[in-house]
Amino acid sequence: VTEIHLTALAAVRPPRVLDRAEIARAWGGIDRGTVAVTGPDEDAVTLAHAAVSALDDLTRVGTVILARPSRPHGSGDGAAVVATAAGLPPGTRTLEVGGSERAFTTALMLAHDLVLARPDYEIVVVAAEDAVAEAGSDEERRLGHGAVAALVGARPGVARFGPTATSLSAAPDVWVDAAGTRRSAGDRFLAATVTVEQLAVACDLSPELNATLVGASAVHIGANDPRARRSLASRLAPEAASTSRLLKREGAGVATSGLLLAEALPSAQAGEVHVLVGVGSGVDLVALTVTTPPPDPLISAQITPQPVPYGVHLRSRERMVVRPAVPDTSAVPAWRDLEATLGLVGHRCEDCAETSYPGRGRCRACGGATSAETIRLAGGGEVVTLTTDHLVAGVNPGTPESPTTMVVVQLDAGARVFLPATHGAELAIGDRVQTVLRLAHMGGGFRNYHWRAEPVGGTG
Amino acid sequence: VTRNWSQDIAILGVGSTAFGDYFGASAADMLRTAVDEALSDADVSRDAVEAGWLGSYFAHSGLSGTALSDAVGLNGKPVSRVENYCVTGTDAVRQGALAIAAGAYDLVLVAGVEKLKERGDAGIPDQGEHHVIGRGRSAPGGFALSATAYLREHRLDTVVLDEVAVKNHDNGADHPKAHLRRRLTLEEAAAAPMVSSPLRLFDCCPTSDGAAAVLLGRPELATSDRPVVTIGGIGLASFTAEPYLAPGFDYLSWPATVAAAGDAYAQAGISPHEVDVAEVHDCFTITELLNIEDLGLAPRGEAWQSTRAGETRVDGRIPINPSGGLKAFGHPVGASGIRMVYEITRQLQGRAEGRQVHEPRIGVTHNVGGPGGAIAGVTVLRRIDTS
Repeated sequence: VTEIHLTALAAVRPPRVLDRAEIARAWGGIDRGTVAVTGPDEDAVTLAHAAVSALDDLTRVGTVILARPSRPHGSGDGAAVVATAAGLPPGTRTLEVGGSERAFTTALMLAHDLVLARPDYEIVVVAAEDAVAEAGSDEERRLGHGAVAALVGARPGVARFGPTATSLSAAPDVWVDAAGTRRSAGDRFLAATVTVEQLAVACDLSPELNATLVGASAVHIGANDPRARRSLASRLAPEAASTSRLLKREGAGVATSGLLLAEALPSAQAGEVHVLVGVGSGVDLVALTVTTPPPDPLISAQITPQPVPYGVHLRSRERMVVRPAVPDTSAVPAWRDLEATLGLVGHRCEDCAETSYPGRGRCRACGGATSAETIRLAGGGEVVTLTTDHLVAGVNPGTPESPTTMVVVQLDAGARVFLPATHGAELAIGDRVQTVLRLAHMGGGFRNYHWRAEPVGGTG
Repeated sequence: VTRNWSQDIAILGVGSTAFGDYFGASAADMLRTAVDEALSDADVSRDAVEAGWLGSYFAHSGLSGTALSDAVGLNGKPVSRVENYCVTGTDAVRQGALAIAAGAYDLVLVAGVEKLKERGDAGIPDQGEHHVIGRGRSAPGGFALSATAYLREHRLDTVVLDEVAVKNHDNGADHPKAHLRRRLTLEEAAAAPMVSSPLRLFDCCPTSDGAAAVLLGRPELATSDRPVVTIGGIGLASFTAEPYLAPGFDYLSWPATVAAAGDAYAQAGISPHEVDVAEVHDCFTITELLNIEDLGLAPRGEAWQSTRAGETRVDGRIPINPSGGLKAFGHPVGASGIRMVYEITRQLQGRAEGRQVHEPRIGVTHNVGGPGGAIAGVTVLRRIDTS
């Protein structure tokens, strides 16, 4: 095997948006546009799962690599959560990488090399950004959230890998001070001077890649500041500066270059060369030649943006960081029931063929024995009944998320589940919903994930 | 179906504390008050009690039978604790009745107690929920799932729920031992804070402290100054405690109640049309509506019409909860089923001052408990006219 492919690509953005003008007013200043942010029940893992779930065919996947920001609060192996919730087998290798905003492009290059060695299996590379910037900082208005998932393998699909190049350079961090003023000046210097120098180094290291840049149709640069993206792209390939309707005034951290690619692909022609550029502690360059442009790899792309007041965002954001432990929990049942809870699997009755959840051992319809074979239940369903319960805080008592709407869902796959609705959802009996992975609670500093019922067509 | 008792079982004496906030009284204090009243009512001494059963749901009311034997001094006697969700009280009565029916004893004590007010929880805590799958459960939330479905199925608005609350508050206002002795208007009910939609504050029973006790025994031990009340039948049935996961569960009926009632009616040899008065488990207003239908006291989908027409009032066709029910009398879990037997016994004996139903001969008590009505217990009590 000599040709490695970007077999499939899918990207997601959270529907909630902050008004940049409102943030600017709060801290003094003016601004415009929006920035997309995760809600109180979402984070990098839930975004990554949504993107991975949108990839068509995961049957050959042997490895999942999750690229996510290392700050402010990683816990556990998010890649394992994503793989389990996506129904991948326990033999799947998972790895989480972070530390730099070029983690996505670096992971793509690693996947490329791994497939060269192991052409029999495919690799999911998913980048998800949910970093919380300091309130009032420039970064707060520049750093949006989102995720992009790429399936890398020997199977042709969206694009073919071309040459790649990298140059590493540990980023100097002497520019940060308490007031943040030098940080801003330092960012400009890093973007305008240091990164350009690193680009030159990378291009020198790979003449083959350098040659492809000449005819590149688009260069997608993983920088949060659109001005930096444009100026860097114009240095690389003057005709190919990537423009974006989606990331007009913001970036999406580690997912930026992938989101730009996902946005550009539907209007791309076969044969076009697109270059992903990862920026952070060095530079990565990944050239891709478009083979079959997908119709629309960007799912739930701000279908109905939901403006979130800045104050509400700040309160729920605090909650993302500090959650009290849940009393009376134990690692033992959590481990025992992991397949049922995180995998959302049921079992079919050997007597009456009804599917039960959780259904290990016995049927909830007739009491008969259930088959050992598991049935994936995640997907669509219909609301049987529901209540908006003020005694229940879906994530955390006393937070803006109480009351919580609790929903009985008859799943298309056959079983019933009792789940919280996604944050802010309004539902009625008979409505169509889909199961989505969301944060459930945090106990002892560990993030737990479970499923929620989301109105079909997005929350709201 | 349970086989008929091998001998009749009489309710020899009944006692109940007033229900409400009793911060100064311990569970043992409240048990003593209820048991002393029952002993006095039966005109027997404590020493005559051969065995005891304690109904108590929460650990803080006392684990094991010693919570009863210590409280009232039954040292050396066989005393057991019974727990079966909100059916705890009825099941404790059932245990005592089975022991008499087996011929093991002539006279036994059944008491129940709960101290809910000193916990500080908002509502009854949901014990034993699954750490993930059971998250998001609450007692009102579980019954609200039925309210949402019932209102939708019959195209009703929440006034039908408020009408149950107003009726039971009227009854509770007339009962000297009720927790909430205040009348309620439809306007107040409709304007109350939302708890678990569509259930508002006055759709929910209060959390109460309370204890109740009955003495069961051979009918010949009954005092001669009033009609004897016997247990015609007791049914108990368990279904799933996770109805929201059960295929086909329609939220319009609790199969446990239907099964338990069928068993109890068969033992007593009656049809539901012969029932003259009932104390049913109205932990929430919607529960009373479904109970009336599940017990066969109104046709399916018509309990709200019976309520609106006044049929369930004390002077109506089939008086439901003349005590005020859980809604107004209160619901100290382990005591509730026994308190219902207290109430129906006094009704059948013509001793329900201020709330007396007109000459009832057959009365029913009913508990349903656990998420989505997992377990139900039904007793049929019958007045035996001596002389």
